[in-house]
Amino acid sequence: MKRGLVVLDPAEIPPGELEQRVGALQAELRARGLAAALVYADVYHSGDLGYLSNICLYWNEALLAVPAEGKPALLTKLSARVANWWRATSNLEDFRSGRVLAKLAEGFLAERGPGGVGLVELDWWPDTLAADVTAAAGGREVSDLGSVVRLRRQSPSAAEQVLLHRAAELTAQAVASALDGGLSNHERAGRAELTARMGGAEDVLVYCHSATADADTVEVVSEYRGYWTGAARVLATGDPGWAGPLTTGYQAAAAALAAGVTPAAVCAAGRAALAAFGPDARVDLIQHTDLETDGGYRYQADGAVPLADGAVVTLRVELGLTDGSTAVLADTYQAGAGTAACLTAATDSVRA
Amino acid sequence: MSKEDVAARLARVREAMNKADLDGILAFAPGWRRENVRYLTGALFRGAFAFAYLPAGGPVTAFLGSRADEQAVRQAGWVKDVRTVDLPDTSQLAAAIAAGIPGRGRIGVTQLELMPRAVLEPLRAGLPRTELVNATRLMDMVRLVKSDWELAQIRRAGVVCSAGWEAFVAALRPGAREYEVVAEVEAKIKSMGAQDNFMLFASGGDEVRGMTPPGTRQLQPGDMVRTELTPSLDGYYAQICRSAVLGRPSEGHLRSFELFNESVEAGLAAVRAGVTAGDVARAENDVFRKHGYGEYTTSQYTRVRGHGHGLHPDEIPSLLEEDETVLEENAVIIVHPNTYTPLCGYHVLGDPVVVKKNGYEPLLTTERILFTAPA
Repeated sequence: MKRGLVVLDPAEIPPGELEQRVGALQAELRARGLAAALVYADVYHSGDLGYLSNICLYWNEALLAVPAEGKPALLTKLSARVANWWRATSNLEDFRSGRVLAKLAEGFLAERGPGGVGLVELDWWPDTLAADVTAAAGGREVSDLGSVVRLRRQSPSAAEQVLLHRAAELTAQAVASALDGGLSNHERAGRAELTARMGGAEDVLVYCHSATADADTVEVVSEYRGYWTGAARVLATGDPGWAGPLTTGYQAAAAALAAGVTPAAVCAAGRAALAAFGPDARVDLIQHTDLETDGGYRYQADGAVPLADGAVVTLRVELGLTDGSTAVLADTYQAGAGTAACLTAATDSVRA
Repeated sequence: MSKEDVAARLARVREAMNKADLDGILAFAPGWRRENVRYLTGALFRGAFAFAYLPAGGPVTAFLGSRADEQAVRQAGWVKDVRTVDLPDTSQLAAAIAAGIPGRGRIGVTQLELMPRAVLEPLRAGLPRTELVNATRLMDMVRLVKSDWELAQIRRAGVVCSAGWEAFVAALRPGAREYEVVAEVEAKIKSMGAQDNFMLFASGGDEVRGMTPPGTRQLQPGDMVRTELTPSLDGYYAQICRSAVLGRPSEGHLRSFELFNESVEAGLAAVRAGVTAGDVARAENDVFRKHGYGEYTTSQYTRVRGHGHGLHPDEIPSLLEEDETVLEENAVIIVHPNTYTPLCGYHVLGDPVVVKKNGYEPLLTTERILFTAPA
C-alpha cells in the first residue's frame, strides 16, 4: 500500500489545472456523445485517477466517475470515514463508498442525462467489474475510451514537468544514499527508503541485490506527488567483466533517446550494442505513466509511438548474469529535440 | 522450506480442489494480490502479473513475465517448471493448461474477480472447453491454517514488526511531521529485510476518525499518534496496532486505553480452535457495549474487529459478529477493536496470535500499554 506523503499543494499544482485535465476528458466525452466516463483504479494502478483528481488510492479499488458536464465523483470500496482526508488532498467533493463498485456506478449514472458510458482503458478493467458495470448502466451503450488519459499524461504540463524533475532528483538522491560499500543490501534498502520518504515520496520500491559475487545492484523506483521516476546503479565490489559492456550498451540506448524517436528504436539501439549477450540483455524504455506497474500495463503498439517533446521516460537495461542474478542500469530522462536530458544523473553508472 | 512442507502444502490445495471438483488451480497475481502465486511458488514477484498452475496430478508450473520473476521462482527452489511468457497475453499459458486437460475441464482461478479483460480474454479463448470458476475463497480457506514453517516465517516478521514499533515511538517528538515518522519506520524495517509494509497512520486529538497515509502535519504535545504497522518478511506479514501519546496522557487517553485493552483481552480470551470469527468479535464488542460505547462498534465508525494475516496483510476471517468462519488450529489472526470513541478519538490497539487448541500463542513481544513519548 502507499504510505508516504500525500498532499495537494497549490504551489505545485496551480489552481484550475486539475479542472483543466478533467475538462479535456469531458470535451472528449461530449465529442463522442457520451454521458460519462469511468476510470478504474486499484492501489497498484492508479495513475489516471491521481492525474485527474490528485486522489491517492492507498489501498483497494475505486472508480472515478466523470460526467460530460459537472463535477466528478469518487466511487470507492474504502470507508466514507476517510472522506475528509480525501477532501483535503484532492479537488473532489463527491465521495461515495460501498462494497460493490457497480452499484455505486449505477447510482451515479442514474443521475446523468442520456448518452453512453466510456470506460477508460477497458483492457485493464477487471473483466467481472466491466460486465457488472455494463449491466448496471441501465441500457446505456458502454464503450472503450482507450488510453485517452494516459496518452495525455505523456506530454506533461509545465507544472508536471517541475514535479517530475523533483521526483527524479529525489530518486537519484535515494540511489546515491544507498551506494555505500560498507552496507548490506538490506541496509542499503533502508537507507534509500529513508532518503526518499524524508524527501516526501508517496511510494518507494527499492531493489538491492547481488549481481554476481563482484557487484550489487541498487535500484529505486519512487513516486512523488503521483509522478514516478526510476534509477539504478551498479556498485562494484570486485572486478565484474560484464560492467563495461553493460555500460556501453546502456550508453548506446541513451544516445538514441530524443523526442520523435520511438521507444522501440531506443531499445533496438541498446540491444544492438549488447548483442553478444543475446536474450540475457533486456532494454526497456518506460513512460513515467507506466512505471507504477513496472511497464506491465502497456500495449505492444506503445513501442511504435514517437516520444513527445518533453516526455519523461525511464531507460532500464538489465543484464542476466551467469549465476542467475541480474545487474541493472537505469535513469529517467526528459526527451527533447535531438537529445534527452538525464534527470537522475547524480552518480556514476558503475561505482567501484 | 523442506520437500515435506511443500508436499503437505500442495496436498492441502489438492484436497480442496478435489472437494470442489476442479481439474486444476490457476493462481493469478495482479500487482497487489500476489498471495496465492506466492503460496504455490514460494517466490516474491516484481512484475505486474504472475501465474502458477497446479493440476490435479503433476507439479506446479510458474508462468511469469520477466527474468527477475523467473529468477525469484528458481531461487525459492521448489518449482522446477518455470516459463517466461509474453504477459499479459495468456495464450501460451492457456495452451499449456489445455494440453493437460483432455475433454471438458473445470479450473479454479484465484483473483478471477480482479483479472483484467486483456488477461482473461486470451485465457478463455485458449481454453474453450474449460469452465473457469472463481477460486479466491477456496484458496483463502486453504491458506487460513498455517504450517509450522509458515508460523516460523510469521514469527520472524513479528520481530521486524516489534522493531518497527520501537522505531515509531523513537521518532515521535513535537515538531516531527507525520511522513517523517513513517520514513523512520520504513528505514528500520527495510534494513531488517522487510520487503513490504501495510501501514496506516493518524495523529491529533479526539477529532481523528480513522487512519490514512501520513501528511505534513507536525506532531504536538498531547497528540495521540496511532498506527497499524504490517511489515512483510519473505512474503509473510505480521501486524501490530498501537497508539502513543506525546507527553502525559489525558484522562480520556487513559480511559480509552483501558476500554480498548479490556476489549483486546476479552477477544483473546475467546480465541481457541473451533470458535467462530464472530465469537471473537462479539467478545470484543461486548466490552464496548458493557461500558456504553456499543454504537462505536458499527460500520459507521470502524471496519472490522480484527482479521487474519499471512501472505496477505488482510486475510480471512474478518472479525465481525456476523462472520461464521470457524477458527482452526494454527490460523493467524490479529485481535484489534480499533475504532473511534469520544474518549480520545480513533484508538488502535491489537495483537496478532496463533489460534491453538485451547487458546492462542502471542506473536509479538511488544507490551500492550499506552505508550508515551517525551513532549
